[in-house]
This record gives sequence, structure tokens and C-alpha cells, in this order.
Amino acid sequence: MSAAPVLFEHFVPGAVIGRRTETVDAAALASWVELYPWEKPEDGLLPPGYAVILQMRAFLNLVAPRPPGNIHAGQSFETYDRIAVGEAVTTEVKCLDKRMKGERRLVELEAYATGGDGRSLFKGVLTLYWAA
Amino acid sequence: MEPETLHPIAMTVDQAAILRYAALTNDFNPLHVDPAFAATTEMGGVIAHGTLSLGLIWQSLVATLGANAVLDLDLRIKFVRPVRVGDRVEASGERVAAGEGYTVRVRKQDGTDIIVGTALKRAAR
Repeated sequence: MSAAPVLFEHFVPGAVIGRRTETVDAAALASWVELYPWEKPEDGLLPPGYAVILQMRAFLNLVAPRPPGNIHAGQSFETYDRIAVGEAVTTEVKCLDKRMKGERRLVELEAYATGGDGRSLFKGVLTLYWAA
Repeated sequence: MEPETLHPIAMTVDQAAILRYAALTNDFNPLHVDPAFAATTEMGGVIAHGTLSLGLIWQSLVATLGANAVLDLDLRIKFVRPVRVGDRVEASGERVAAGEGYTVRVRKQDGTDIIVGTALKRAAR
């Protein structure tokens, strides 16, 4: 039996949805370079843009299953420090806001990440039109 | 002195790139990876993940300013149009008048913007 999808009515502004910790290994970095072969990562560090991958993986893992038809309409992103290959990154996903925009259900989610030593790594805010 | 324009970064978004990105993010939404399903949606076919193209903006900023300089930037963008399989997309940008960051975009081969926004120095906000 599949789980029920996360619906607009389930989001609570201000509430933490969950936290996820993962490490990025050399194989994942190699996949990034296959996709963007002009990227030349510095030894031992992830390219700054890789933080968006970590944001998306946390969001998709913690807010699941999702109703089909969601639209990622906007994004803000701040990076605070470089992430080392193999570092444990913990990303907390929180609902910032939800509201109706015309006929559309708009949800804003924040993904805030810290490193293994507790330092801030990045903060992303996803603006999504939620399908149901 | 920061450059007036960002170093452009371009790529062709083919299905292989979309599948690679799906694996990286673990986002196998059928709208991105299943042509038969995607054809039944309002999109009328497969579209790429928006953040696949967003990656090009980061790379354009890093290529221009260096990896550590982008740590001071606050990126704010909107996804305004979808990217289709086979589209050629390019990230670019221009320094804002105040010299405190850049307008950024990703544009398709036909000249339409798919991502628009700003990357402003955090202290300038």
C-alpha cells in the first residue's frame, strides 16, 4: 500500500518537517562532473552549485510522497561556506509559509544545512505551486 | 574590479543529461523521465528539472568571480519557462548599476528566458 501524499492542508507554517544527513562521496561528485564536464572541482571541495543538489535531495526525501503536478516556481539561495567531499551535511526542511495565490496553492519551504562541525553551509527557499 | 558581464556557460539538455540529473537528486518525477507520461500532461512532453539549468548560473558566477566569492551572494530566481529535451541553454548576466552583484538569467537558443533573477552581495540587500 502506498503512503498518502503530502497535501497543501498538511503544511504548518513555522514547523520543521524533518532533518536529513548525508555525505557526498567521490562517486557522486564524478556524476556531477559527467553532467557538467567543464566543472573543475578543487581538491576535496564540492563546487558551490552542488549545494542545490543537497537541498533537493533533502526536500524530496522529507516531503514525500508528493501529489503529481507540483511546480517549482522560484528559488532563493545563500551559501555560507564550502562543503568538503565526504562531509556529513545535515539539512533541515521547514515550512515558511503557505497561502493561496489566486487559484493556486503556494508553499514556501526552507532548507537550511549545517556541516559536521555545526557551521552553516547554505540556506535555500523553494517556492512551489502545490498541486493538491 | 568585477567584470561587467558574467562568463557564459552553455549546455544542450538532452535526455541523458536529464536522467543524470534525476539520479543526482533522486528526482525521478515522470514529467522528467517518462516521455509517454509527460505527453499526457499539460506540458505535452518531457521537461528538464528547473534546477538542472540553475546549476549553470552558479557555474557562470564561479567562472567569473571564483568559488569563494559566491559565498557572499544571495541568489533569487524565478523559473519562468520549461526546458525541453534538446534545448540549448546558456547562463549569463550583467553587473547591476550599483556594482553590488549581477542580474542573472538562463536563456534558450530561441532567445526566450527560462530563469531570471539576481545574485546580489549579501550586504547590499
